[in-house]
Amino acid sequence: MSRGLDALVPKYERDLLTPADFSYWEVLYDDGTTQRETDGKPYSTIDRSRLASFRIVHGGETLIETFPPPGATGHNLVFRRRTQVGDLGRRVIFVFGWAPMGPIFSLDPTAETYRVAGAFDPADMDIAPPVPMPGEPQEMLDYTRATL
Amino acid sequence: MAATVLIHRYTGSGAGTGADITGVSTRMKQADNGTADTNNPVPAVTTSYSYWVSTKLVCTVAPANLINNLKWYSDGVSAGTGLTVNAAKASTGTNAGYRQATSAIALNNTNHTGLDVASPTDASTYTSGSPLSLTGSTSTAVAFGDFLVYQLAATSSASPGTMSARTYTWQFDET
Repeated sequence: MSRGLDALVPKYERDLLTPADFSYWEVLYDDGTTQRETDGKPYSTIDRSRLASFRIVHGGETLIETFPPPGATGHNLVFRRRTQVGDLGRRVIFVFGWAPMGPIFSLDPTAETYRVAGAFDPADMDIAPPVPMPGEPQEMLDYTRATL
Repeated sequence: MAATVLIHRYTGSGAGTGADITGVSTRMKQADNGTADTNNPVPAVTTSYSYWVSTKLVCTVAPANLINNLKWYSDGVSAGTGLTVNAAKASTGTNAGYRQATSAIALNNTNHTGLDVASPTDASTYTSGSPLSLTGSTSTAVAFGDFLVYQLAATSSASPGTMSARTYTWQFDET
């Protein structure tokens, strides 16, 4: 079930831009400092040992912020900017959360909605499991755990 | 910064030449191009084929980190009575699996030696719930990943007229 975002997202010209083009991830560390995607430091440089929260920001406004659930640390964080492109144009969503324990978020800035799932689902392209990036062992992306 | 990735249709000899078909329709026809000017005849017997269509992702603005997890799927709708769009991955051999379509012959790994499988599969079976996974990743601005090759096959039970457009989607992840 999709839920609405309580945020101010402009209606960009869809043929040219989407809200995802102006959205970025931001990490809050346990000492109060932040690291943003727009700092020029890639996702692989996130210091997972100091991570306190992870958020998606658009126009200076936090769309969603998530904190490590019980049993999780920054090493369980998974994030992807997922693009679906074809003859109908381009759709960009953000898939992120905590693996393998969940929850997993699927955020669609253009539709101004988000979904929350207990785990990745290979039969649902919006929350299908990603392929590991450096620092993300395959075991962490195991989607076979029971959903919430 | 988010990457820019386009869908290219490759035509021509050798390694082929890619043309951007992102966000537009392209035609399966009896010629090695995508323009809307040549029909596929409905045969009296057996099966008639379009030239196969070779597509691939091209990254024109590099990602901050990496693009991977390539998927391809259709809208899940059959092409119509007597019509089948068959699809398969190609990455084998020279030119990263690209083979120019030079005639309207069946798509298989005898006629297209770059295919990764013996025979293609009905594209309508690849849906968002069960997509085709393709190999490939990139951290730079290059053409990357497997070719996705598809072809229209028409039997004598097909009716004349314009086939409804079908939607095919590429999906990839980026950090």
